[in-house]
Amino acid sequence: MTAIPILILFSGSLASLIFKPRYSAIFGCISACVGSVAALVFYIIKDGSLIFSYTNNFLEIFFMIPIALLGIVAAINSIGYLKGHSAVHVKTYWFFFNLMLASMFSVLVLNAPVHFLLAWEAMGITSAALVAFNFRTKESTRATWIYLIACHAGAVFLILMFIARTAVAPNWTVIFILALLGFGLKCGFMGLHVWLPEAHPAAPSPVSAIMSGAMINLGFFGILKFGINSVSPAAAGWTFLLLGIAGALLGIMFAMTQSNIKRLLAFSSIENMGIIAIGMGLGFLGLSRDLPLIASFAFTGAVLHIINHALLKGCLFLCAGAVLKATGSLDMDEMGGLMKRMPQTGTLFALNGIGISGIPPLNGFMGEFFIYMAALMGLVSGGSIALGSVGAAVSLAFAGGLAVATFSKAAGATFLGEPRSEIAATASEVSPIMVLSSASLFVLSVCLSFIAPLVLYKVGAFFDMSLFSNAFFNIFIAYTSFLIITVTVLLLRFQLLPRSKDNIPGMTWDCGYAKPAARMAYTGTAFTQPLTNLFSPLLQPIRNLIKPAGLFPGPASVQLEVSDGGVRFLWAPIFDRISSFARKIHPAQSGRLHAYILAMVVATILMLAWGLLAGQDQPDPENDNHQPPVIQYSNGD
Amino acid sequence: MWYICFFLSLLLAPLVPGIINKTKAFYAGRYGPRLLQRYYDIVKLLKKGTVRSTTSTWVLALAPSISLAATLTAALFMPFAVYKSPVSFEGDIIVFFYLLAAGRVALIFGALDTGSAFEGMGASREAQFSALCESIVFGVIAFIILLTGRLSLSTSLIGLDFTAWSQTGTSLALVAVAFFAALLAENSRVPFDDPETHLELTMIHEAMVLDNSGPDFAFIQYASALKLWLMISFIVLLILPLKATSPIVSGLLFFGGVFVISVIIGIVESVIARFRLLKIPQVFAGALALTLIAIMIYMVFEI
Repeated sequence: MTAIPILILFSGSLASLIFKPRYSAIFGCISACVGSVAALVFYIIKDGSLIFSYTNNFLEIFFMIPIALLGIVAAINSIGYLKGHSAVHVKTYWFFFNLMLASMFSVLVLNAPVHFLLAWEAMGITSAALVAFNFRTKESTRATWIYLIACHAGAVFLILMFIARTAVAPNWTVIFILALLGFGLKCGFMGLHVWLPEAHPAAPSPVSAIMSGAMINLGFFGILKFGINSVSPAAAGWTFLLLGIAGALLGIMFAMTQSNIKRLLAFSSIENMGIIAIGMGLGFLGLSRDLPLIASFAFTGAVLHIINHALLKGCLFLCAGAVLKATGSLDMDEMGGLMKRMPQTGTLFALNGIGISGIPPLNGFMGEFFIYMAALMGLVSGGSIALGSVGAAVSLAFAGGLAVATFSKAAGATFLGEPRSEIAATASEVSPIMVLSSASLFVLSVCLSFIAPLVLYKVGAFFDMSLFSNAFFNIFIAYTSFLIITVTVLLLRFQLLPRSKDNIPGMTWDCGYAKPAARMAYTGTAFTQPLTNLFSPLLQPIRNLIKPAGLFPGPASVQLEVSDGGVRFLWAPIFDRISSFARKIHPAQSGRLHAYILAMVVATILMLAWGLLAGQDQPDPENDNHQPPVIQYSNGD
Repeated sequence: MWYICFFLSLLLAPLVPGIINKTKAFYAGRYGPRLLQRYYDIVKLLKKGTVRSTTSTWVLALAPSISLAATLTAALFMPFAVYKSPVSFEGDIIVFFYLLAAGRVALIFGALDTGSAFEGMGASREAQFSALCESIVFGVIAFIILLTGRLSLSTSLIGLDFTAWSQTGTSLALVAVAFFAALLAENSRVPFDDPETHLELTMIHEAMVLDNSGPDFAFIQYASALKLWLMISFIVLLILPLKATSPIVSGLLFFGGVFVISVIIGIVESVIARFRLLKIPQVFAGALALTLIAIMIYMVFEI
């Protein structure tokens, strides 16, 4: 039974290769949808009663929800997105799309280490193939390379981790560190995040949506399932908390400065992974101090934020895809005024952007609310956990504030104001299938924002009813009164006031200047320039300034670019060292056969000598009652 | 009683800018605008029609209303004097400040919708300063919760009494100063912003709402007055140990406190010049440092 969804996806991928392009799209899409629905039915709904009872496979079932939901929506959205692409593109797209979904489900279903690793690698390779969708462009090739290297570097650490786990007395600290490195490469911890801002812009938008909303979460799944078993909760907690704070703050700072809309979203994913890590960190700290209330609030917050992030970021990436489809560009400073030309996409993007900044009553708020609650309760309980809580609360608030700046920039520069270029002025709304599919994610997230307080009730009821008996009810009242007050104010504004319908169209106030142009409006880069300046020690922006010179000044310009600090200051120097070292030993590879044979002979002699010398102090074979190591794999918790 | 205070607050909120302006006028030796000027403005604006830029979309049309609705909803959670809000719950302190943020976000989006360089600039600065302010406010919240052990706005703010001052006076004073700085910045007062200026380039909040007119502008004026009132109430409850007095006296003390803080804001605006924009983040860093120092002092010496 468990294999059915994966089999459906496999057969769909094969079918989309075999049949004619026109049918391959149909087969590919249908099998992706049916496979995801089957996964929902067989894995999630069948065991649905388990979702809130924390049984053995709670983790697996939970992480499946975003994959299945985004799988369906992204598959439908792809139909619109792929229009106008060549047959080869469409066929390979659907082949790899189905395979990617199948491997993602397999990652969650398979337990044995070898199977897990195979599925994990398959997930990396199939998604890399999709990142290479526009393989003729330079950016895409570069992104694919970086992504493949990241995937394989991660796999190396994972193989080492699984080997370390088979030891008779496993060293859990080492395993935890290896898991953090291996899985952290997937979920984009600060420093290991370099592939995200490269791969997301290059991949087709429905794929970016799945990668950002469902795939990078699996890094957390891996750490929780394999890496954490016997690590002390305090150590795990502090690690997660510090990684989370770094990821949340630096992620959103870099996001804020980007002018490519999908790069911005990718950096924002790093921020959100940071927020989830903060939640988990507080959760483990709560466990370490035996404070189940804090732990459950923090973990619930992290879990809710994973779902929220999947829905909101999924929708944002689909909207970015619509913008790309309509204008052919992802540069926000080229856009402007798209709200008039693409009202549905614009509205969706703006609302989801506000949602992911954590503004109530949209659903991004609830996840952060739980994490805040855990932090505030951590304060009350005192001790070292209070210190962590202050850090968590202050950095969450700061990251939230910067997220507002980031997404008002993204929505403002892309959709509001006047068009800044020809492509933006001539854009038109994308096909209904693309709009509806992304809208369905938003509808889901709005529903979730009203269901989420119920989770608070559940968690509260678990512990101290007196403390939270009215919290659930009152959050509901807060939301409802917000709705009622909004409706009342809008009624007052547009119906009841004496001249409420008098609206004289005018022009934007221009301070008396006669000919305002779109070029004079604030661009996205200008919008965040003060914050970029403020954090320039961290961001190291690159500024190209051409000053006006001479008595009759010619054209002047200023360009501000912030490239990823992880690449510039961490990985590029390391890889430069490696390649310069490689260049030094390059002469050894002379191409002369006798040189190679000589090297082999020398190596053999050395090994023989080593074997003879080392063999003398080997233990007596008779005393060697060595037994094969007991291999145990727990099923996670 | 809470309801009476609540409606009194809604009614009296536009008085605060009047008090501030009168204080400033007194300092400058002028008569100044009438005490009730903000009321006249709002009533007059409500009677007018709107001029809206052809560049704008539904965003600008809805933004002021949503901003007002968010601020009104936030007001529901505010305790007044010793009276708890009827909808208070553990954790509403977060909801309160996030609702205020929601009001601000609506205005930022509205400003960007006009496509004007001035409003873009205002929105940019508002986003920058509010992001910095948010961390100070949450530092203050962390301190209050550390002090009282309660997570709701009502219980934690009302829970402060004389013992709080006698035992933790130093840190409480530091936090009050930090929150006062956040209050001035969040409500765009001098020295962070100048609500009186007429030069678009130097404004923050006022530059952001340049293109709103008629009832929209009335909503914005009222919402900003109400927000100022709420933040002043917060600091009054933080400073005054109202719990120790009888209900009637506490009510009088509360409204008296709001009056006094308004006068203090007026005095601050009269004696301090506006800071240079580039210097403002340093002030925020200072205020955040004050909060964190207060938390450390509390945790090390006063617990």
